Amino acid sequence: MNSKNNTQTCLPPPSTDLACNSADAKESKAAIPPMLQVLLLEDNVELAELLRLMFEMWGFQPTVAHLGRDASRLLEEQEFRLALVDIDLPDTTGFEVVAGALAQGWLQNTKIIFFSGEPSDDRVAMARQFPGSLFVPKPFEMQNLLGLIQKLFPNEPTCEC
Amino acid sequence: MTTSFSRDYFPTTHWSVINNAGNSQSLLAESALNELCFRYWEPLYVFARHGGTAHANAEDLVQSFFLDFLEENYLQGLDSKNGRFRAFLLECFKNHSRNEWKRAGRQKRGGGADHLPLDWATADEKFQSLMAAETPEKMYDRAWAVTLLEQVLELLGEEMQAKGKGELFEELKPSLMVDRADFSYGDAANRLKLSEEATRQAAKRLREYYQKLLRQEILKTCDPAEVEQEIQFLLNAFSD
Repeated sequence: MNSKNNTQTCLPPPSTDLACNSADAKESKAAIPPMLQVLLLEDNVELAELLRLMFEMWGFQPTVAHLGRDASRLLEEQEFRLALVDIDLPDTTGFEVVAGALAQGWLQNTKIIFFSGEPSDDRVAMARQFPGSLFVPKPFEMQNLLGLIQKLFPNEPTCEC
Repeated sequence: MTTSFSRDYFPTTHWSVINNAGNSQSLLAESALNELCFRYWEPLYVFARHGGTAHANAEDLVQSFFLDFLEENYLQGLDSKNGRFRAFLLECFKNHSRNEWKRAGRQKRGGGADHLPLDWATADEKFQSLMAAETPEKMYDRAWAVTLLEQVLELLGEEMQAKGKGELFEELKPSLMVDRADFSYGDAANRLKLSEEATRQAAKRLREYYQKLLRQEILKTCDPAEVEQEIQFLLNAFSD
């Protein structure tokens, strides 16, 4: 069993092997546990798509929502282990989405990482009101983000595609 | 003009092929690089516009730049120090712009010469619609990222069309940009005369293929070892 402190060896480094395709991923699925389900709540379509690409390259299974109401629906319908939540959304705030989902009991097994391009003290304090959640200011270094996720899920295997 | 813009052949990584070619450049690589330039001209237009160049002058600048790029050997002496294709293209354009201003008193290259079929109206719409950035360079980066994603969607559509799946693509295209919002798999299934589950699976495969094409497209503009950095760069392009 992996030590919780040994985060560097629990997950493989991010892959840049572009030969990886869905067929490869499907083949490796049979040999490894299911990939980590991640909800990406980001209203900027292009940014969300690039984040999705990065997370897939890391071996996670991302699902993207651009609006708070869609994220709420997704959280109701399926279980995510991790949710990356942009605070500024067109229809609501990321805080409200998470608060609503918590009230419904949909986030019992979900870690939350809030992020925002306007990281004021108030926002950081607000994020702290959600137990166990993290706050990351934008722009963030993807390697740092991966490091955070590795700390949150030290024993989580991922697809080595 | 002799350059072909065929998409039938691509070396794995144009940039690394060119870098490795040294003085004996690969014609295929050069042709592919020219095509990349042709596909990524819009960010240059956005750069020029954001830098204060008027619409018509920006058109002329980009037009004359491409005529120079395609007719002259811009790749001469190119090596790995030139960095990424994206940065290389911008530096070439800046140099070209400086030269054009110097000879501003003379007839502009783009004025009486053949014109490339570039969609200026769309480029200007893109300039107007992009979230304002602090610098022309940042606008260029942002436009680059948006253009990259648009190009991938276009490529995907072309490939699906070639496979006789154009209708399926058009029906499922909205699902690529949203996972749930405003997209009904049930309605799409009815129109496609498929079951909802089959439609969901088709959408999932389409997304997987889109992601694969996106990775490939990024790979064309940087070395394999730099892909993650390139994605990081593209992500940062959307942050102020």
